[in-house]
Amino acid sequence: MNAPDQKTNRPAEEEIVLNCRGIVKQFPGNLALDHVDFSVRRGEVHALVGQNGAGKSTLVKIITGVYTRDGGVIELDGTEMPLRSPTEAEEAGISIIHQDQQLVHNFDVKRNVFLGREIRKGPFLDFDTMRKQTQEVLDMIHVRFGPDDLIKTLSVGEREQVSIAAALLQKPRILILDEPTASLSLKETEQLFQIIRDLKSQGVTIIYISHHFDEIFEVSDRITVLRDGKSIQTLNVKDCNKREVIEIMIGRNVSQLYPKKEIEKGETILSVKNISLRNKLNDVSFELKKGEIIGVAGILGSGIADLANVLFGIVRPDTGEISVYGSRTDIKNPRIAKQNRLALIPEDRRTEGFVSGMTVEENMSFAFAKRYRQGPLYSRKKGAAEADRIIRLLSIKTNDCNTMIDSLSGGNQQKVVIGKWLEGDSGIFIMNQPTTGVDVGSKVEIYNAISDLVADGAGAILISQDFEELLGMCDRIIVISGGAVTKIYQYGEAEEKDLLHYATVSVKAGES
Amino acid sequence: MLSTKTAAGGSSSSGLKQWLIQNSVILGMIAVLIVFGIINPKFAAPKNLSNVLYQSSLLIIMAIGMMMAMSVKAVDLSIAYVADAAGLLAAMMVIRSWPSAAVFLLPVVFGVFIGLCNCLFVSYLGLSAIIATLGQMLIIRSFELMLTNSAEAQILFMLPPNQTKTFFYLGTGKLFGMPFLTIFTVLVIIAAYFIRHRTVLGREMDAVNGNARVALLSGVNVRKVFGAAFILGSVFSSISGIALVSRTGSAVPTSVEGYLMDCFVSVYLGAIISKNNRMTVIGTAIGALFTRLVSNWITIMGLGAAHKDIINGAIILAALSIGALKKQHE
Amino acid sequence: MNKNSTKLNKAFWEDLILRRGTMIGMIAIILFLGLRAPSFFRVKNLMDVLKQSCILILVAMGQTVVLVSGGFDMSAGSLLQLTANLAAGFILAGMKTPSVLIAGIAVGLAVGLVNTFFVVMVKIPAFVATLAMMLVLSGVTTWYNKGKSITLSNEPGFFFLGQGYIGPIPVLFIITVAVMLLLHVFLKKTKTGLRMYSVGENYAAAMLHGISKKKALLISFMLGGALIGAAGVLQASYSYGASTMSTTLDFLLQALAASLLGTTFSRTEELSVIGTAISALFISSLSSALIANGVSNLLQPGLLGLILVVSVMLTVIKKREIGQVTIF
Repeated sequence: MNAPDQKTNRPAEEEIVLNCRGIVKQFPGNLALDHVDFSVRRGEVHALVGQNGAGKSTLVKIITGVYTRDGGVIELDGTEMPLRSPTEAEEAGISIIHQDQQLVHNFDVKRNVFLGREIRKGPFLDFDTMRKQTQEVLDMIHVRFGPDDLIKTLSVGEREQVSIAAALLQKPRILILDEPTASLSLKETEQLFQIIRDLKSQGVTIIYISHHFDEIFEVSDRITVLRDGKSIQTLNVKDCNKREVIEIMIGRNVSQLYPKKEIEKGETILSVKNISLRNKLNDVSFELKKGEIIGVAGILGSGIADLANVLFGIVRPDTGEISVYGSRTDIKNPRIAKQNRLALIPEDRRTEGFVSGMTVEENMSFAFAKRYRQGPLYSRKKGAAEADRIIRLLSIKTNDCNTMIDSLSGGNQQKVVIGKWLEGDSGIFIMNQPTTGVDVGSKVEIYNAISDLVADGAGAILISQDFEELLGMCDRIIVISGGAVTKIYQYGEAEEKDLLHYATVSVKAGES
Repeated sequence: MLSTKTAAGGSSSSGLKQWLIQNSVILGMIAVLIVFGIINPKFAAPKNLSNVLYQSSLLIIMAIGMMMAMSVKAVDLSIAYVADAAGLLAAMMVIRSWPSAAVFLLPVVFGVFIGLCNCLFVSYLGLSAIIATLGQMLIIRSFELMLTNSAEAQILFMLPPNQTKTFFYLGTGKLFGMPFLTIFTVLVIIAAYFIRHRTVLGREMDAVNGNARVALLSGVNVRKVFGAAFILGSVFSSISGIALVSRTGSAVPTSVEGYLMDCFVSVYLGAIISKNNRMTVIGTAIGALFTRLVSNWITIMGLGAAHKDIINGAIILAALSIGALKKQHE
Repeated sequence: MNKNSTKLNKAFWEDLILRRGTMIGMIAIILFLGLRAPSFFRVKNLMDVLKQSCILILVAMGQTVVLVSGGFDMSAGSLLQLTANLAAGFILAGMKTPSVLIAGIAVGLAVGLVNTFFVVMVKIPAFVATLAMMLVLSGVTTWYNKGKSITLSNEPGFFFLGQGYIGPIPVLFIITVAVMLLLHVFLKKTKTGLRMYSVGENYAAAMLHGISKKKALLISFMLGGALIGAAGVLQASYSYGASTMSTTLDFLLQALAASLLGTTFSRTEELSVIGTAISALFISSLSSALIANGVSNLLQPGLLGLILVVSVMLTVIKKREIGQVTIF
C-alpha cells in the first residue's frame, strides 16, 4: 500500500531526508513487511504507530541496520544506502534510543557514553577528554548529574538521559526514539520534549515510536500508521485525532474499547489504612469491595508500583495496617499474600510474570499445584484439564496447553499470567500496569477478563499510568502523587486532565 | 521406529534427520558401546555387563542426588563428601555394634543435616552455591579426619559375620536370584522419579528452575524449594555412601572424592538425553550407567586413571556440544 | 538538625562496616592469629608467607581476568598442576628456564583457546565446559607423570624464580606484584579492558555498542590461561618439582573466594586484580597463621572453609536477592 500523501512539488524545507520505498522483510512463515513506504521530512518529528506485530520494530531494525531487508530501497538525502549493519547505519547518521536502553551500572556516565567509541591517548584511555566531551553533551540537555557519577546512583529517567547524551555525541542526522517516555517522570518527559524541540531547530529529524497518543499529538508533526506489515496512511497531526488513528491501526470500528459492566458491589474485601513506606508512600488508605475495580492512577515514580509491592508482601511498609476479608493481616511475603487470596500480575511479564521455556500448562499450574493432587502425586490430567478450561475462559490463542509459552503473543502471555491465578480462588487481583506493551486488540480482551473476574465476585486493583484506561474501566480511581493520595474519583466524574492534574500535584516533602 | 511425522512441507528425509538429531545422543551412546564391545569382546560378556550394572548403583544414586540441586539451577559440590562421611559413620557404628536401625538411619540424618546447612548458607544467607558447598566440603573433610584420626580406614570385612550380616545385606545380599542392591537401586530411581517429576514439589522445582523470581511472585516458597533440593540431594547421597560401604566392606575416608566428577558427567549426559535438555532422574540414571560402562571398558583395556579422566571430560564436551547443536536446530 | 546528623552517623557506620568490613575483618583475623603466635610476625616468616601466597595470588588473578568478561574457569587448578608437571619434566630433560617459562605460557594459551572454543563457538555454559576441561587436563597430567611426583634438585637457575631473593624480598613476590600492576593497568585503563568489563557486567549494553563478547571471552580465557600456565612453572620452581596433589578443587575455592572478596576493595564493587591479590594474600596467610597457632592438620581444612564461607557471606549479604541462588 502506498502512502497517499506525497505530492511532487514542495517547498525546500519539506525535503525528504529519509525515503523508504517498497521495503520487504520476510521471516520464515511470516511476511513482516509487505512493500512498506515510509518517508520522513527533514527536521520534522514523525511518529510511527501501529499495534504490536504491525511491523514498527522490524522497520526500525531495517533502518538501523540490525536486519537486512529482502526488498526495497532506502535513500538518505537522496543517496541510496545499503545499511547492512548497525555500524553502517550509525556512520550514516542514524541513531536510535531504545526503550530499555542498556547501560553498564557499575560504570560512570562518561564510560557509558563512550563505550564502543572510546578516546585514547596512546594505548591508554583518555579519561580527561572523555569527561570534557561528556560534560558538553550533558549541558546540551540540562541534566543534574555529571560525567563521573555512577549509573547506579541515577534514577531511571536520568539513565535515559545518559543514553540520549551518548546518541547526541554522534551528531546524528536522524534520531529514532523508541518508547522513550515509558520510564520517565512527567518532568523528565517535558525535558525530553524540550530536547526534541531543540534538536528540531538544529535540523535533526526525529522518528518517534510510541503507544502514548497524547505525547504523539503534543510533539509530532506527522503520523504514519502501520498495520499487518503494510503502511496504511500518513497523516498530519493537525488534521486528525486519536480515535481516528486508533481505528486506522486496528482497521475496524472500535466502539467498545473499554468493556465496563455494571456489577453489584459487595462487602469490603480489602482495607488499607495509613500505609507509609520510607519516602515512597505516605499515609495511603482505601478500601476495595467485592465486584469492584479500583484504579490507582499515577505517573512513574509516584509510588504506584511500590503500592503493589506492599500489598503483595514484596516490601513491608513502615507503618499502617492491611485487613483482608475483614481480618487484620501482616502480609510478610508473597506466599502469605497468596494464602490470603491475593494475586499479583507483575509489571514486567517477561521477567516476572511467566517462566520462559515452559509450556502454557506448566506456567498455569505450578502456583496452585496442590489442588491437582491425586494422593501424594500431582495429577497431570487434572492440571491439563484445568488449563484447557482457563484457555477457553480467557480466549487464549494457543494450539493447546502444551505449547511453549514463548511462542504466544504478548497479550496472550499476559492472559496466561492472569490465568495462573484463576486456578486458585484468588479474590483480590493486584494488577500492576497489565496492558503495557500489549496491542490494542489484546488489551480489550484483557479488560474483558478483568470484568469477568470481578463479575464472579473478585475485586481488582488496576494500577496504571494509562489514565484513559482507568477512566474507562474503574468504578473508582485513586490518584497518587508523590506517594500520597491526592484525590479519589467515582466512575464518570473525571476526565483525563483531572487525573493528570492530581497526579502531578506536588505533595509536601514530608517526613521519613 | 522411523518417524514419518514431518513438518509442514518437509520431505520424509528431513523427518529422519530431525529424529536423528533429537535422539542423537542416545544413539551416539549406544554406538560407542557397540564399538567398545567390538574392540574388546570381554566388555560385552554378559557377566561383565551385569557386574557393571551391579557396581554402578552407587554412582546412579549419588548422581541422582547431585541432580536434585542442579535441577533448580543450584550446585552441590559437597555431595561426594556427604556420601563419604555417611558411609564412614555407618562403618564406625557397625564396628561398635550399634543397632541396625541406627546404622542405616543415622547417616541419612547426617545427610539431612548437611542439606539443611547448605540450605541455610545458600537460601537464607544468599551465598553463592559454589562457595557454600565447596566450603561445606572442606568442613566435612575436617570432620572425617578428626573422627578417624587422620583417615584411618574402617575395615568391616574382618569382623565376625553375625555383626555385619544385616549391614552387608544391602550391598551384597541376593533377592530372587538378583543382587539386592540392584533391586534397591531401581526402587530408589522410581522413588526419585516420582518425587522430582510427579509431585507438587517437583512442579515448584521446575518453576524455580525456570525463573526463581516468577516463582517467588507466584507465592512459591522459593527458599523451601532450594532447601528441599539440597536436602534431597544429601539424602540420596548419604544412601549411596551407606550402600558403597556395605558393598565393599570398608570405609576409606576421602575415597569418594573421585565420584564427584562422575556425578557431573552423569547429570549433564542425562540432561542432553531428555526432552528440552532438562535434567531428569531417568536421564541421570542412564548417564551414570553409561559413565560406569565407559570406566569399565577403560579398565578392561588396561588404560589407567589418566585416560578415564580424559575420556570423561571428552564425553561431557561431546555430549554438550551435541546438545547445543540440538538446540540450534529446534 | 539532630535527626540528620544521627542518620549520617548511622549511615557512616553502616557503610564502613559493610564496605570496608571485609578488609577490616581480614586485618583483624590475621592480627589476632599473629598475636597469639608471635613467631608469625618474624620477618623471615613473613617473607615465607609472602612467597608462599604468590602462586595463589597469580591463579586468583587469572580467575579474576576470566570473571571480568563474564566467564568462569573451573580448570584453573588442573592447568596449574599440568604446567607444573610439564615444567618439572622439561627441566629434568635439560631445557633452559626461559624456554620452560615460554612453554608453560604456551600451554596456558592453548588451554584458554580450547576453553573459548567450547564456550563461545559451541556455546556450552562456561561452568560445564571448564569442568570438563579440568577432567581432561587432570587426566593428561596423570598420564604425563605416571602417577608419580617429579622432584628437581640442583637447578639453581630455575630455582631462582621460586626461591630466590633480591635483597630481602622474594623474587616470586616481585614477579607477582609486577604482573598485578600490569594487569591492573590493562583492565582499568585500556579500551580492551573497559570493553571486557562491559561484556561481563551487562552484555546487552555492550552488544548495542557493537562490542563482541566472543573477543572479550577469548582474551579473558587466553590471558587467564597464560597467567596460570606461567604460575605453574613458578610453582614447580618454588616446590622443587611437582607433586601428585589431586585436590585441585580446594585451590579453586580459594581463588574464587579471593576474586569475590576482591570486589569489596573497589568503589564500584567491580572485580579488581588488586583487590583479588590482597584477598588471596589474606587467604594464603590464613593457612600459615592457623598452622602457626598449632591448629591441627585435621581441623585446618574445616576452619579454612568456615572462614572463607563467612567472609564471602559478609560480602554478599548486602547484595543478595531472593532467587539469586544460582551457580553464580
